[in-house]
Amino acid sequence: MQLVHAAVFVAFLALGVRVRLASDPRVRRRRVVHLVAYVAGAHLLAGLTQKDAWPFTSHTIAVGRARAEAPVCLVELAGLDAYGEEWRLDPYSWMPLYESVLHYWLERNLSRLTDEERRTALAFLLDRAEAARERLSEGRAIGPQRWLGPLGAPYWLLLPRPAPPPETLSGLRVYQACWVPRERYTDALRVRRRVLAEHFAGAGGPR
Amino acid sequence: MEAAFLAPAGPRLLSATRVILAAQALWIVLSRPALPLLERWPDVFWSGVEPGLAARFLYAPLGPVLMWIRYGALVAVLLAALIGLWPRISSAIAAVLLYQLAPLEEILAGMPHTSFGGLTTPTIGLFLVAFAEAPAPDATPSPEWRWPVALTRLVFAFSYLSPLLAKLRFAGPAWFTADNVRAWIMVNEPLTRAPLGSAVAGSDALCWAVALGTLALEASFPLAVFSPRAARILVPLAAVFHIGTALVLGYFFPSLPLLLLFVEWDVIRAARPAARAAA
Repeated sequence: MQLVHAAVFVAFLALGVRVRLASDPRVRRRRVVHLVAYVAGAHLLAGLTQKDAWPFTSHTIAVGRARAEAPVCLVELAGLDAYGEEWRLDPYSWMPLYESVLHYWLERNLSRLTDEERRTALAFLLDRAEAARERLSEGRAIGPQRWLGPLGAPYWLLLPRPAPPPETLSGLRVYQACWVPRERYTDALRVRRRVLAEHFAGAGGPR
Repeated sequence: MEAAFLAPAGPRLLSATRVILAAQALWIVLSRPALPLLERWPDVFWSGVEPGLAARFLYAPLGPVLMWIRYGALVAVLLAALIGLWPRISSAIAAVLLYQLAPLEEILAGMPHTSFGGLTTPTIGLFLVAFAEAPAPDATPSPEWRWPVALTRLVFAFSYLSPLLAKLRFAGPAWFTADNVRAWIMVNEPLTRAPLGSAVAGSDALCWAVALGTLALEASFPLAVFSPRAARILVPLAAVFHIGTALVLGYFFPSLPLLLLFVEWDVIRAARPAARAAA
């Protein structure tokens, strides 16, 4: 399938170069029409088949019928301080990966990792989370605001940005969180969480 | 079709389009300053990458130094395209680099959401700018200054039409009902805590307005490509729609500034001296 998607893009480049090379106005005009038809057709096909061949893309988002009564399960990450207290972390802590993308990676990959690989991954993420916490605690920006300040472009999914934990992070916990949207809508605490993995810096767990 | 894509336009229309595309891409790229650091993530994160996907985007690990050079080169060529320095060459190089770097998250995580990142239209649009002639400031009106602009607008218009097609395919006309909009708000609310989600979910009238407004906008936006009069109505409506989506669902539309592509810049710039002379 990747070959097909690559071919769609290469064909676009080829048609564009054909336009570029045409010096006779009538030929050029005809080739422009071919390019327009191709770009329109490729996008239409991506939209109709819902096969994303970026940059010819299907723009698939919130397209099904939402079911507020059906359980939803997602991966969640929590930071832990030395006393074992859990903290919700800034979703830009892991940049260049945004939190929702990292959740998706964990969902797809965590179960296939060996214990050693899991330790490596979580230790690295803990380091990143602590570096982001430290930066935020010092009043310095992370993520899109790092260079552009308030003008930085946020990631498309606007997740809440909690204040940084006051204490150094010494652990990271990965949960699978499940809830029924209609129930959680009226009671935010109606979530079932199951620990998928956890990691503590240094020798052991919390004090 | 003929009027939208091949009618003569002033050279400023194409120049303005290049500036908007480069500025948009620069905004997104500079908002992701840590992008080259992805290269330094431990191998375990890259171990699940589908080789075909990385090859398709010509992505090869370069090492941290070359990755920063590639990122710096992208910023430099986008700036060059923005100010009109070797506009065709800088646009072409920028488009190639965007094609490689925009899907990095998709390559690593396998999450097909590159199109939400705000770089899709700039990537295709900058290629189109490179395929076209570069206009001199005093060039006479020509179809050459029109077709890349109109085609870029069409690409952008698909960010409305394609979601409509997907909704009709996966949910049918029932997507456009108050109940479905309310359910989507409930599904998103625990994640995004969007400020107006609860207020809209609590009102049948507002849920219906969102449902029918979405249908009307997504179905009609392609008209903006073919009719400046339609664009004058649909572009402001689209801006309101995206601000509303951020407030109700917590979905930000990073391509929002690209609505400026629908302004007839050559007409505006040409009209100013005439207005002054008349005064």
